[in-house]
Amino acid sequence: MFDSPPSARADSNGPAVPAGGVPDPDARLLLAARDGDARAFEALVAQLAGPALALARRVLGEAALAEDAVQEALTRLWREAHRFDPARGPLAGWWRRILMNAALDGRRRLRPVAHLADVAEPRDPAPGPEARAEAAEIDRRLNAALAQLPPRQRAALALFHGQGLSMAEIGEALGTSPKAVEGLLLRGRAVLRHLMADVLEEDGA
Amino acid sequence: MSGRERPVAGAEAALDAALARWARGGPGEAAGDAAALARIRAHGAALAAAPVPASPSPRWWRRGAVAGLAALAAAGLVALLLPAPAPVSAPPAAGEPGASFELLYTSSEEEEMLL
Repeated sequence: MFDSPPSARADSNGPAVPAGGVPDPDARLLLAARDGDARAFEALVAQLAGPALALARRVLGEAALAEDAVQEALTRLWREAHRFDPARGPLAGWWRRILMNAALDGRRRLRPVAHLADVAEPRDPAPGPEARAEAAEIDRRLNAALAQLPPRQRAALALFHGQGLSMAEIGEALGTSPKAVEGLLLRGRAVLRHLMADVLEEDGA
Repeated sequence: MSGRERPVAGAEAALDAALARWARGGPGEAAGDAAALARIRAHGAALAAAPVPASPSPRWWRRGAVAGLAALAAAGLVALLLPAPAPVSAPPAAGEPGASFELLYTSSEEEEMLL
């Protein structure tokens, strides 16, 4: 039902490495860091921080919570580095799970998400002025509608549409089954369609 | 999709496109992201400057179990080697078979009244 968006797969996952192969560059940095190389961990943080902050902000809907979640995830990464086994897969999957655990932590889940007024202005997505205005209106409505979704649904949508992950990969990141991920996506999209019916039908007509 | 009403294909495509724009926006798109990233990197540098967390040995519990068993075995050996303690009762005096009982039992006043 949900095929991965084809153009998204190479975005931010990093090179996947077959089990037992040479660790990916991020994994090598983590292995060096746990051997005492402080600069390697700093370099790894520089690699991970930007995409992690962007993903956490989408999941949590609030910049301060997202920053807090990323810092907590980095602390866990540092503390649990000795448990990482490059033979069991690339660092990206392990890191995603740590980040999602930190972002979906119960204490944060109970906090309110952003209101419409706090939502960041969307980027200009289209070339023509009319199309740009329409897309901007859809993006504004989408941001407001997304704020109504539970964080797990937002996380599934962000991982699926932003990183092009499979159901299994999203399930691994969220600690659930691929079938449950499909349910999260279906329910999330149904709510979005309902909340944005007017602009979507206008745009899709 | 699985809803009761079949969504319009164009609306689905528009939603897909909007979700893709939302989900693929890079860092730095919101005001304050640069400062947040700087704080996150500073946090990472502080972690990196801390001592590397010790890796707990996977055999720690085995070592503990062996030590516990050794302690139990030593206690058992000591118990076997030491002479058993004497019973806690007064030895009967020669020629008085009821002496031991009398030392341990004192009748109460109620029992005396019943008698």
